[in-house]
Amino acid sequence: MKAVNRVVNRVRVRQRSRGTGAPRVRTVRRSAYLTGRRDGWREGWSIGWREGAVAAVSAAYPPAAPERLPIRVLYVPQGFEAIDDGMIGALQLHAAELHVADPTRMAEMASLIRPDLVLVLNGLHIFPDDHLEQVDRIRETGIRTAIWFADDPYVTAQTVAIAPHYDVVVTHERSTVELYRSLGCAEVHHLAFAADIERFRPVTPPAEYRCDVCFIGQAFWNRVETFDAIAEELADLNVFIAGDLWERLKHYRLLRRAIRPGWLPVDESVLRYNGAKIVINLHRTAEPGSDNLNASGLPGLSVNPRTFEIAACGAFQLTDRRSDLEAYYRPGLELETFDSPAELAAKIRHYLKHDDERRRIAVRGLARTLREHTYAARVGSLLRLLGYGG
Amino acid sequence: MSRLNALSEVKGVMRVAGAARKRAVRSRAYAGRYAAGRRDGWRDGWRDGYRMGLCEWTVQAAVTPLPVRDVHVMYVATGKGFPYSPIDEAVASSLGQLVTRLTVVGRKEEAVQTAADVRPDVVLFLDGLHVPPDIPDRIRELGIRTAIWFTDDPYYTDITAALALHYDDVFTMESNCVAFYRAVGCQRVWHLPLGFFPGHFRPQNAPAEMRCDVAFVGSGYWNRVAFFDRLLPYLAGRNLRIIGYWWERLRDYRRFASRIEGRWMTPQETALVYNGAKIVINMHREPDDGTFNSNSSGIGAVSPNPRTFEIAACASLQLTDVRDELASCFVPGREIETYASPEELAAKIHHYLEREDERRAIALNGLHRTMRDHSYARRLDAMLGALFG
Repeated sequence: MKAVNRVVNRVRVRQRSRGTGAPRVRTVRRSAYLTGRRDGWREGWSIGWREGAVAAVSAAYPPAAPERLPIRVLYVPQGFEAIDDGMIGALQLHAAELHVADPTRMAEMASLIRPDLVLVLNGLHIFPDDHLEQVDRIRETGIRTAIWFADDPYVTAQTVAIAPHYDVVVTHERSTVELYRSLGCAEVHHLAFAADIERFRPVTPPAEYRCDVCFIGQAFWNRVETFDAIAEELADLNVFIAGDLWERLKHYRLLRRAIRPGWLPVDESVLRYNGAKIVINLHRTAEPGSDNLNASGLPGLSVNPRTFEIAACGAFQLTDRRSDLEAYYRPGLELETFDSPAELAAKIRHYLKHDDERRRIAVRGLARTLREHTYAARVGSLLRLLGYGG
Repeated sequence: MSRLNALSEVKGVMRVAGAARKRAVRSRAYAGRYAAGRRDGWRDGWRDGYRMGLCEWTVQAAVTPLPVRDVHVMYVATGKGFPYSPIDEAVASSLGQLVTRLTVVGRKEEAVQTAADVRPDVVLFLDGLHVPPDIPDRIRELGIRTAIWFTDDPYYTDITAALALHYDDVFTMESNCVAFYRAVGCQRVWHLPLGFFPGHFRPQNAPAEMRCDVAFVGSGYWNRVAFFDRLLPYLAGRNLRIIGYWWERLRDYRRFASRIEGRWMTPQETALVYNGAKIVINMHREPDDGTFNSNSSGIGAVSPNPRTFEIAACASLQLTDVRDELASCFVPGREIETYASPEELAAKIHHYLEREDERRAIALNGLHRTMRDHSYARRLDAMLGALFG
């Protein structure tokens, strides 16, 4: 009986619409087309705008072509591929000759090559137990040695033992400069890292990489606190979080779908930064505790390499405020900052609504990065600090 | 009976299944149309967005902050047309960024009283054709400096020659007129070209109905009519728009009437027309044009018109006739394109309509140059530099 009723209804509908049926179908099709057009236009516009702005910025800041210095450098990588590759690329531009040595064979390589400078990145983690003996041997042969610490101030318990073995200590964390000087290190410099713009660059990622808010990093406790505070806000958005330990969240269930556990390959990070409307940068806490080997208790004043890397992707960055930040980017113009979870939530809301403002800031951040925060620029500064070249 | 019932029920089910299939087909058709619309929309959106993205950084990179001078300027609005004409808005708004104190007087009749009240460092008049000379005279009697910027030179030099002497400082947009005013007896004369106001003219995304291949905005002065009489036959197949008075003077007016709109536009609307055109034609007035002209001294015109800067600010390819000083404002072939005859113009229109990349490169270079060098703010900064050092 139900079926029959349905048939009758169907016939009635057909009778009613007879004569006007064709135009109605056309209207439906037309409106389908126009709705599609409107949606497509918006999407195309935002991608086109970004690509256009990026093209203009990139044309304004072509890759650097510095004058080569007559020095021979032996570089010892840490295994932080984003930094190592940037350094190697830039050293190739600046130095007449560059060799790269594995940490287990740095002394042997140095004695064979006899470079003007052995430059070591960080000297932790994968470095062998005889690391410091190797450095001593290199120094004995009269070759200048330098180390650039990348994890300060979080691992000062280890770096204080390493630093005195080098001729030159460079740290990306301003607060630790005095610490190394107090240990008797003769030459200590503060120098921030930069972005490897070959790797961290603006691209248009496939649709599945797009999201509203993105954070990539381990769930250190200070980060857990912040994300717990804004979890309810984030639950309604398209969020992507990658990293370990996020099950520490009280509101883990709210964000579980957004979390991708484990380490994210760098190239994936690049696509994620590029696809996100907002990329959050939240420095780990410098307070001594379970996440830290910060025996010195020195504060974190300087920005992480990620600050430069996010900006280099032409992404809109919302970062917590380190006191050095304004030396690198102008808050409100080239990126945005927050001092509290409430401010973070408010700015997420604001910038998701104001597309133009957000895009402009992202493009300015990219321009500043290409102008000042590339490894080519930074290695130039480093070599000048070390007394090479003008 | 029961068999029959069963049969009809089966039939019914089959018919319902048919309807569902039709619905499905229709929704597939809907999805297909939607997808087609989305594809087309995406392509257009990308193209428009790309252009605006390019413009965004071009403007950002070009505009640098100007100094703010600790002076008090009083600006007497021209008061032509509606109370606050576009040029008054442009000058007042640009001046506001450059001085610590600005007084704007809407009516010239109040200029003397206001100057006496607020005692500015200088009183600036624009144009001044309709300002009775006793106004600057009485302000000068108060011991206050007066300046005028003639913005229609050389077309009204018969009148301005007599006016200029009543001001302490004379600025003229036509460099040919500097010597002229000096000869009349003015002590302090400067050449100050006109500019454009980014508040009116800047890159924008023109709505679809404002788009065209080639646009010209301006009145049909006789020299232009003669030129277009020869040009139009070459542009028959192109989407052309002409907006301005007196174009019924064209020989083939009726043939092109559908492309012509005899009306005046606000700067905002003009900017959208420029933005929506792939190519914008600029054609200067002849200094000896008979329409509304009082230039009996026959002073030539070598300075580009403000439209040159305004078109460039809208990031469209500009094809302009050559004035002697054009090259000091834009590099021909790089920041602007030029023509000397209808044939050359037609050939260049065809060339650039086919080559979007070339067209866009020149348009962006022009945008950069005009934003960097030719805004009213830049000009007024130069003026303040001349006045106060």
